Amino acid sequence: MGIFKGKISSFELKTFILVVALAYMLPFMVGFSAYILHVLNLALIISVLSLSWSILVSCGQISFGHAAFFGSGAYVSALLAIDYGVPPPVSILISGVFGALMGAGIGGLCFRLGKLTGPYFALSMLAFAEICRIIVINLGPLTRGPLGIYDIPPFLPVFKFWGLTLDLYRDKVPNYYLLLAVLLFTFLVVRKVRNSRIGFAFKCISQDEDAAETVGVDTFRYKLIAITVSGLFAAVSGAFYAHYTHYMEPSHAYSVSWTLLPVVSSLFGGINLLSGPIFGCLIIWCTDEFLFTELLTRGHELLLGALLVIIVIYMPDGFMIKVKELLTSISKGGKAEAVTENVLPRGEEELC
Amino acid sequence: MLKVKKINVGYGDLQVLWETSFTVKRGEIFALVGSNGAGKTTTLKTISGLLKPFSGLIKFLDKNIHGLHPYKIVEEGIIHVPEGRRLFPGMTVLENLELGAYTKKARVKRRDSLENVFNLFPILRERKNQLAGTLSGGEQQMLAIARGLMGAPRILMMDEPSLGLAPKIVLKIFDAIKEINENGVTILLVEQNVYHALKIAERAAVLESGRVVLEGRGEELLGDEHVKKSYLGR
Amino acid sequence: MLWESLLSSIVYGILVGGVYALISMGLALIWGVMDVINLSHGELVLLGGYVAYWLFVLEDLNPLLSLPLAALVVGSIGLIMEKFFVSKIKEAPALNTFLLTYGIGIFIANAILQIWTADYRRVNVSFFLETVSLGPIRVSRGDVLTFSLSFGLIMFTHIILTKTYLGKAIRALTEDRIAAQLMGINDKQVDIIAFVMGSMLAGAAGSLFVSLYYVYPALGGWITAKAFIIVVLSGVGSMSGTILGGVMLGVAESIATTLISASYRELIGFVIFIITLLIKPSGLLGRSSH
Ligand SMILES: Nc1ncnc2c1ncn2[C@@H]1O[C@H](COP(=O)(O)OP(=O)(O)OP(=O)(O)O)[C@@H](O)[C@H]1O
Ligand SMILES: [Mg+2]
Repeated sequence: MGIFKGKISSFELKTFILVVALAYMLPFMVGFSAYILHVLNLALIISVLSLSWSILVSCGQISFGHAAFFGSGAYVSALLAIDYGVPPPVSILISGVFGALMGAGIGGLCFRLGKLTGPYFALSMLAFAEICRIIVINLGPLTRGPLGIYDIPPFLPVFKFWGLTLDLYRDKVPNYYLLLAVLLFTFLVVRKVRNSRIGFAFKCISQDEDAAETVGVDTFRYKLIAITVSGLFAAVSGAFYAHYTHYMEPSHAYSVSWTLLPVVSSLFGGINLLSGPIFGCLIIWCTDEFLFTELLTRGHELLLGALLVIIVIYMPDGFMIKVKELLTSISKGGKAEAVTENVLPRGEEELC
Repeated sequence: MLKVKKINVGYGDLQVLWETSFTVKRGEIFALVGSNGAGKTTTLKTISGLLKPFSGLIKFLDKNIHGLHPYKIVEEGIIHVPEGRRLFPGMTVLENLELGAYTKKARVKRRDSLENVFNLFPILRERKNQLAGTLSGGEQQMLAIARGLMGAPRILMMDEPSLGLAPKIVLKIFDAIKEINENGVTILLVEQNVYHALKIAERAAVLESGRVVLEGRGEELLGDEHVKKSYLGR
Repeated sequence: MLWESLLSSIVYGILVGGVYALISMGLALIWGVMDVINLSHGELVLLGGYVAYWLFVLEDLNPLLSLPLAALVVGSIGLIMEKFFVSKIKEAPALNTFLLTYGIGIFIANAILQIWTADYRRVNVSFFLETVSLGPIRVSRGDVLTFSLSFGLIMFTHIILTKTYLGKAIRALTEDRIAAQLMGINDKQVDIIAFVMGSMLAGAAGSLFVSLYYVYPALGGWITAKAFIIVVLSGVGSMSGTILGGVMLGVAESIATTLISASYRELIGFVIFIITLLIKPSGLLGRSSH
């Protein structure tokens, strides 16, 4: 195994560089179409959300309420920017801290006080998202109630000199690169975490929590880390979403979509792969945007639900595993198939 | 009556039984003995359909039964009294017995069967409305056997009925097994209590690491040097 | 004054609790037998509600009369769910069935949205709305009727479970699947029956629910959460426990709503949900998952 390790990672590095280069050139390839770039930008934002969801899964915990972090991040950042004049880059960071604290709080309640596992945790997340939504609706003076917030300032500045305006926001391209960088950063952090000792502990917990406990893994501590990091990135993703779309209202901020999309995306991409949630999300989001919403203007989640059912039954390991097998076999020539099986057992984390 | 022929069985990649073969004749008590982990339970689970053999065949009255669903095998009259009793603890003694007679054939006879098992184990009649989980260990074992008998067995397979019971109760259980056999039920008995098992068995087989190493009459095996050394401690 | 309204709200909570208990019974049945927590249970209840609503609007059929039809329709949906989806992944980790039923729930909720839009719907039968007075307490006829019907259906299910061979097989599977197979029970077949029964209960409960409350497509998660919490409170497969759990939840909600504010009604429901989970850590449900 050790012998192959070097080879694999150089292969991974190549793939990584290739993917980043492709991502870099994408705006050129779509001819700078504002509409396509807009959809892609949203996809990048939601990819961050999917990644954050997958951190929790890598620690064996399923959340059916990531909207709680997403929506709260959106609200915190938007309100700070509008009502307190905090510049969006700072307010986004603060919302990240808020998300992390929220994650730690929920983690403390669920994992320590309630010792909740599996379905119990997943459903309490759902309840937390609902609680957040109802609170935001009812705290009118602070949150502007059910009508929502308009004119949330963009995170990219508008420069004005001598009558000349350089609006970095209206142009989708700078947004694209900025969001790409954010996603890349998130990915590298997640990768770092999952490949570290912490990530190893996550894996132990996800495979058998009781066993991990008996061999001395402080499971509570690691689950707390997982949900804190997860909350942080989910909130940041929500904050970017709010500043990017300018508008937020409670039902949208805490919509079931923000829970459903990461679930479907991560499963589709493959939860055992680090990059699975990203590629899954890009594909799912674009399919949803270009196809599903065209087919069903109202309730396009219907198709997402159907997709989830199909994925769970027919490819619970995600489509990326298949793509990866293909890539590996191409890069290694014909006899690679057997090698892949041995070198990369299911659940092994790699770069791509 | 029951013929097990060269079965290979395992859990996932782990193979437990290797080309195991033996035959149980009509009306006899056949004992399958061996130490912990030899594969005795695995053998019974395979016969009752809980496990599918990788290869080999199992014949009951000239009909191939390997690979059938467990409920089909029960309908054939092969009843398995599992290791550790596995009663329905939240249900009453009577309900447990009724479930024993779940198949259509058994259901028709259930009144007679009930009378029978109550005569065999009178204590169960007294306890019939008590929850099975609240019975003592010995009573639970009696109920497990009785529940098996309710299924109108042609062959009754019992997995370690003496496990964890006081010596006096063990004797009672073995007496009951003899009595059941005298009433015409063929018995396949799995035991770690080798001495008692070989004593009441007409014939027996010794299983070691998933292979049948000895097969013969019960008394013969009792006198066998290997058996004496490995299982009887003399 | 406060005492009177408190007393009324307790009575109201008890009456509503009956419907809650019925809703949770279907969830508990499926959960117990198959170890599947059907996250689409709330959506199945909703579907039953909409069927009753439709029959009411189109055929002017009283929801109490459309109950069997709602049960049948939802039961058939349950049959399809079990046969083509849930049974396909029975061997997979529990997490997968969980995600699967979550997806199915989303699907059903949005299908409801396609058919009946997001509007709030309710069956308004004037006869139901009339109140009757019991001393100082006033309750609506509808509440009393739905409670009685729920109670009756729970009893009926209980009798099936305890008195018939099928019911005993269902309970045997709940207690020990392997042992049940060794009794000659065709477990796959009983699974299907239990799933359909659970769905029918959901459908029946839905037709009662819609004559008490407004329904809308997104309500499913809320209903599932309630049913879930009752099962957590009462344990799987205990009839008295289920009724008690339903009534406890109903009363707690209704008292909290009276004391705090109606606009927080939903919030109270979810807070009770969280608190129950937190202080009752897999308590009664810490049952063995053999
Ligand atoms: N469900 C299972 N999964 C994996 N391996 C198993 C399983 N059940 C049994 N085994 C293994 O198969 C082997 C034989 O087990 P089996 O239960 O048949 O032994 P046994 O002869 O009945 O032993 P005992 O006298 O202790 O009951 C053992 O090594 C055991 O570890
Ligand atoms: Mg054994």
